[in-house]
Amino acid sequence: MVDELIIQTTNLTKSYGPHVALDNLNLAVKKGATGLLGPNGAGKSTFLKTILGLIQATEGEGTVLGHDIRTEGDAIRARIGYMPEYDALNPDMDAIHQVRYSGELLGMNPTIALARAHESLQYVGIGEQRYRKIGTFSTGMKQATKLACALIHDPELIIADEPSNGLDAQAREYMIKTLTTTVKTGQRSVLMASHLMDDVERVCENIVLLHKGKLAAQGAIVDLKAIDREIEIHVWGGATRLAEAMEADGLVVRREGRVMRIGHTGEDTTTRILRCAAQTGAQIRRMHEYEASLEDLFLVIMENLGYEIKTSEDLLGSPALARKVDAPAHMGGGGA
Amino acid sequence: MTEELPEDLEPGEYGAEAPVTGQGRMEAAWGSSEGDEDLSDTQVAQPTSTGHVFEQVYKPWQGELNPRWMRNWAILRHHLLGIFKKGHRPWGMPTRLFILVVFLASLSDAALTLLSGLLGEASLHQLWGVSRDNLYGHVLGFFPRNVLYYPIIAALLVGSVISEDRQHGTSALYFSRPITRFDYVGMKFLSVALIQSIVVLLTLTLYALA
Repeated sequence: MVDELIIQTTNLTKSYGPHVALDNLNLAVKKGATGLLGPNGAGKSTFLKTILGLIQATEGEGTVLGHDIRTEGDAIRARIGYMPEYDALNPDMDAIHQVRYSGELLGMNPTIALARAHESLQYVGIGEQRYRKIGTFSTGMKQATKLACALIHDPELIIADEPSNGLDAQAREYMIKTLTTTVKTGQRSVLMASHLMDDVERVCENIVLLHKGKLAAQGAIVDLKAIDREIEIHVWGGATRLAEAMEADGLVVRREGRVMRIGHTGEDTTTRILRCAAQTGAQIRRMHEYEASLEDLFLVIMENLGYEIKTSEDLLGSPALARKVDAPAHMGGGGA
Repeated sequence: MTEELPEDLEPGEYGAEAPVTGQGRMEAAWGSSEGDEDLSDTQVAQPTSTGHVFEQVYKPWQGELNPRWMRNWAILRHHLLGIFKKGHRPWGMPTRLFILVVFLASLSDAALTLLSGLLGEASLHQLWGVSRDNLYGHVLGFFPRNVLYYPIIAALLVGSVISEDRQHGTSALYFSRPITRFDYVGMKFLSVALIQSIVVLLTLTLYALA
């Protein structure tokens, strides 16, 4: 069932002392591939740790694959595969044994874990290199090995933290293809945290966008893109007159010389543009719908929200607390 | 430039639209036929290999995961067997060599007793073997291994057992598995204790039996 929810949170809050990392998060992640986006400090890592049951939420509740994140962390971790962002492999071990051991830690029989390690490493493209020490691996091979560790027990949900980070074009392509195959052919779900919008767009149908620990946007990428739908025209002669006429008609126009992008307001937008052109005598030599990329969408949302890192006020929950911590001790604060 | 088609041929019969495989020419040059083939025959493309020897196929796994004790046993076995075998926790070579040297040194009392028995040489036994006459040997034998060797073994084993996981970041991967911190630390402690037990208790037992 496609609409089945795999992650659901209600008023999920996580504070580290006075620092509010996740603030009343209400999420509903469907089965399939979902991108987890957000600038640095948005709370992505905290969110992942919380849903893995590795850290306890301060308030609120949530479920992953039907298990309560507060009390059933073990059950959740048995059914998901986690691919950490940073180096998470022992450089002195062979890839095959590292993957086998990660399977044994899930409770797999050693013989079965070894067989599955072979299959997983073959699947992620490591092939015969699996007998080499991980310390001799390239970044791409290390990323693939981490993915093999995550896939060894055929989890229902794979949480991949920056899976294509630091990879060259070929390795990146293969990683994207592997994740896509896992979703499409394997019918598994992927929650992919990444800063590379292009990769997220290629793998995922849905996104969750976090900002300062709060939910900024969530839904299908196609639907979210509609908020940034524009029509691009190339004008010859009378461009200024045309721009003014369209603005007078209530259209939102962004202009860069003869190229203009007009916000899509409805089915009659094209007609209105052409009518304005006819009135002003401007020639429209090219007209097409401009499809925003996920990066455009991200920037638009961030522009609306204010794309800055967390301030002390954000981190500490209240201006009073922030002042207290920021102020030096002799001024009544507790900070430097 | 356009070429005129022979009158008896319809356009397309030359097979211009058909994929060119080169097979026809090769057949004509090197093939075993008489060379009287009808040149107007269209060469049909054969299924060709894409050159891939590996096809990416997701293989599901229907098995069941074992309970907690099996996960703990995996941690214990991984650390314990690492001393003897490849494919488990890679203890450093200096650590393994030191353990071997101390193990052999700890067996020296019993070994000398055995040797003197085999040779019938009492002086050898008095010098180093298990007897009341060789206090010097006892001091040389017990003091170093109890006070110097074993603490060094403990330090070598314990020193990296958790810090390496932090250093390499493997703890992030391991804790994404259904293991608790208590089990993780507990099994590491037990594995180190067992390795030391083999060195200390086994040699002491042999000494006592000698």
